[in-house]
Amino acid sequence: MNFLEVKNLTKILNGKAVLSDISFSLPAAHIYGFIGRNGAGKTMLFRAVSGLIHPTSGEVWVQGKLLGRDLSFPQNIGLVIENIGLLPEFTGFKNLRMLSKIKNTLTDEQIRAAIVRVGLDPEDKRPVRKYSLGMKQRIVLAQALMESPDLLVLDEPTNALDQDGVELIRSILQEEKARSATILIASHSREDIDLLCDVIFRMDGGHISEIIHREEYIQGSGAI
Amino acid sequence: MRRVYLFILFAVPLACFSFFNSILPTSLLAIPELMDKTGFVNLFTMAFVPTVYPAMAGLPNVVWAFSFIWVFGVAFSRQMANDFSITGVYGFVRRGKISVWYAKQTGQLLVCAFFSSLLYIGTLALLAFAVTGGAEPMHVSGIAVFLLLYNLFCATLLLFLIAMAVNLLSIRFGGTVGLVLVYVAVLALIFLPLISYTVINTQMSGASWGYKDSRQNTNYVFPFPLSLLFWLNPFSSVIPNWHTSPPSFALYEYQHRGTAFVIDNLPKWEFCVVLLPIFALVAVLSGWFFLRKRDISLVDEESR
Repeated sequence: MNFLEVKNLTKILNGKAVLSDISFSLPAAHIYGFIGRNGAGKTMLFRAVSGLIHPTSGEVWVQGKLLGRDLSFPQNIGLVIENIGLLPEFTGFKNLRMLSKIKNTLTDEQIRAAIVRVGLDPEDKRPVRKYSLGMKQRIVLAQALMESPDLLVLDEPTNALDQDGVELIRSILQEEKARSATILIASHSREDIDLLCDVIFRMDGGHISEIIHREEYIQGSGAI
Repeated sequence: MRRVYLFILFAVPLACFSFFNSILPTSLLAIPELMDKTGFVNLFTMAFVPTVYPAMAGLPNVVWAFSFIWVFGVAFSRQMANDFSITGVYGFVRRGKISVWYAKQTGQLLVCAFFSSLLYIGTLALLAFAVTGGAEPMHVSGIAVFLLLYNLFCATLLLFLIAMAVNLLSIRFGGTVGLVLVYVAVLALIFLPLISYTVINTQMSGASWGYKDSRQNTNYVFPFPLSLLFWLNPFSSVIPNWHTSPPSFALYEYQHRGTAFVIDNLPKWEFCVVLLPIFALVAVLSGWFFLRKRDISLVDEESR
């Protein structure tokens, strides 16, 4: 059984097909990259896989369960959606603590460790609204990683990060892959895709125009 | 929790204003009346809903009651909508099933509505005891307890209905549109039955203020289907003339005919014990059918 299966997924918004008959099957414990110009449908696909939007037609299966019927959202998912942050009036630690109370599987120490892991200070008393863009990105990544999810859906995870931050996140994602997490990344960074992804999906106009396997790319037979 | 404290901070003074407005020398309820066998219930009836006395005399109490409903709305009526907005996305995806989340949210709204109503009624009761100094035992008869509980029941469901409506409209339209739309509708629904008094009393000169006469006159002045505006108005349940609903109608009849009338009329379908739960159930089911296929509100920078 594949970890994630998307079957004939179509989403129409305001009369326009933002996702058009997308199908793929992804085994677990790999990193999958999604590339394409703005408006290609990457973020919309990630929303569909996360259960945040309902397909007009088609199905999304996660670990053998159909979204919208068996589950509303994947059971154990870590999500980063571009331009969506945490509650601005609370500290980073407070934000993560409130989120962790939903499933109630983490201690305060584990939350602090997640914040340290992304290079932030868990004792920082500033509210999130006073963070820099890079810090906001890091704390959002921390909330995605803290519960050791089986599925990581990361939309532009290295946005606004400095070089040290980018390399830190890349090493974290390699650790998550080693932990057998399945990771979906959408990125405009060619370097991120080159270094991290096992399979690369090129999207254009709401559908997948090309699938490139890492071995092909390394051997020079595939193009990104 | 901050929202709860703010609500209490505003709700208690509003109950106080309502109480003291009821017992002012120029008002309609004197302190000694609080000692009467129905005085305690009279107090609640006047302070929460101006159902017994003519509309203009009870207008200040409409203001306090509406203000209380407004404060409740501002405090609690965006609980569900906040989870459905951008800021709620990362919490939402951790919840697994929307049905569980929805059941919890509606349950929380119902509990908030209950305790808010209890706070208001409880404040009135405490003030009544405080003002009389406990000089004499207060006569709280069986019917008084029944009418108090029934008012609590009506108030809880009304607040719940308002909270559900605001939440669902906020999810649909965003921002404060839901709050404004619902409260304009609440104002209209409160004043509609009150305005009907003026029309009825103008057109039926010589008609008494008795409830039976008013109900017969009402059907004459507002025939079907216009009368549906009043029969299906949830606020008509707490304003007389349209439903045979305590405390107004039952209280009036109790004062003149005793307990027997109220007990005899309990099984009647017109009592709002049937209508308000039906409205609440419709709101819950409507919300579920609306939400289960709703896309979570997101800003899509790429589609701009």
